[in-house]
Amino acid sequence: MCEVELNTRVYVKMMLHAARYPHSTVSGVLLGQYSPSCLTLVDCVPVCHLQLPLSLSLEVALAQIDSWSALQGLVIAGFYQANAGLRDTSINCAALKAASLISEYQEEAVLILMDNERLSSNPGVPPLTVLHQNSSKQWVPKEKTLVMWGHWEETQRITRQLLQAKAYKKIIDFDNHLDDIRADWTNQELNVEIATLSAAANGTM
Amino acid sequence: MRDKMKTWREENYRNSEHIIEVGEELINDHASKLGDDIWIIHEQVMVAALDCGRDDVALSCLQELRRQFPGSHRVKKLTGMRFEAMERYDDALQIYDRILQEDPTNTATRKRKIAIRKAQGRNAEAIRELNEYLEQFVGDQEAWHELAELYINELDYGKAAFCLEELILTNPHNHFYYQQFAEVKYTQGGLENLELARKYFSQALKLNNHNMRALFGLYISSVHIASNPKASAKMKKDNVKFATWASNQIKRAYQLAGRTMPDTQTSLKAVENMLETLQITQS
Repeated sequence: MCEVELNTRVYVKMMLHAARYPHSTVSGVLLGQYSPSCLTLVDCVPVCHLQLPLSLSLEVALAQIDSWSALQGLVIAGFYQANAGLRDTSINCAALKAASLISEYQEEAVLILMDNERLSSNPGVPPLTVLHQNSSKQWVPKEKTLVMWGHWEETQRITRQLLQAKAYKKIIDFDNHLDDIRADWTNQELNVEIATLSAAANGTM
Repeated sequence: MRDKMKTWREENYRNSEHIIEVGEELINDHASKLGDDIWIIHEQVMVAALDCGRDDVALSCLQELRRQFPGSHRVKKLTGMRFEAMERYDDALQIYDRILQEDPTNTATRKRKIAIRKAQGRNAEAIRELNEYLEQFVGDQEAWHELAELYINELDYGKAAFCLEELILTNPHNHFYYQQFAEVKYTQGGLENLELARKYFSQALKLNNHNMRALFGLYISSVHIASNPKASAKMKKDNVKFATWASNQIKRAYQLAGRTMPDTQTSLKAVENMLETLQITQS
């Protein structure tokens, strides 16, 4: 079993996506790179907030994300979801389907479920569960020792700053893109902001 | 500002943060000029405040409204909604039941009761109550749409399609219902459903040619039909034609978008690649 490492950008974008649509189920795709013993998740693409488990827009999104990420040298390596209900920790079947589809191509694919009750600007421990597929094709929580966080303290601080600046208004998911195809689902603008914030943090250290 | 609040109210926008900002300013600084409008703004701000978890704002609005309209059902309903926001569902239900005893046709209150079921994650009960509700108020479109979404979430696509058909019948010019009906049919799969999906995607496009979901839907469903072994030769030929047309339209849309926004260049490339990969699976 391989280790999974999550970097700042993935976490920040997932949080902002959940913060932009607190009243609906949001989900998206995780992009990463493989090395022999480790999967590093370096980016994510928010996909839905219209909650409906209908396959069309997800198919369109996956096809576009797949060809785009190939150009960036990344692969689709997982799926994330945050439910609409505060206490709802179930994984809906659309997410399971999507995650299982991804794991047909990428054996070590992960499914991340965000824990709404612990989502805050100061969560302490990461407010999410990382699941992976066991040998009998079931999704089970991955061992905590195998989930690594790159710069967790700094990640939290950047998330806090961006939430306070209401940057979640800027995050674009695929549903927004289909409403207006000029909207950029790769969220380059936010990527730059996140990069600047983390560069500033490293500069002062 | 007043007009802004009015459009938001009438179009059912869910931009609660803005509503609170603008509404508070109106209430605090321009109350005298608002006349009777001030009460509806209080109501609007209160609901928005509940949505954002700003109980302080919600409470002050509620108190104002209570003072002005003692005994009003509409204000009592708001009290119930505040309990809902605090997750005191039993207290909320009590208030709603009392309103319904006095006024059994109060639809907004009945809907709140269904919303509580949803919040509690009891979808089956929500569906049953919503069905009972629709037996009495068959013309309530919002309710039909909610029921369709509940069925979709329960993966009961057949029943969801029925609700959407109902909506298409009452709104034959709304492209969104055609598109959603087609999406449901597409998700169900199978040659017949795909054919139906393709037709409804086309109709949605005819009504609104900027509907990108319908355009992608038309493309993907015709590609699937064309590559379906059960499809007849004529069907295949026709659908290849549809797919080609749709793919050209998609490319054009992205090129037009790219002209105003250089960022979409990568996106255009991604779309072109996508169209290519899907084409290959067709042969």
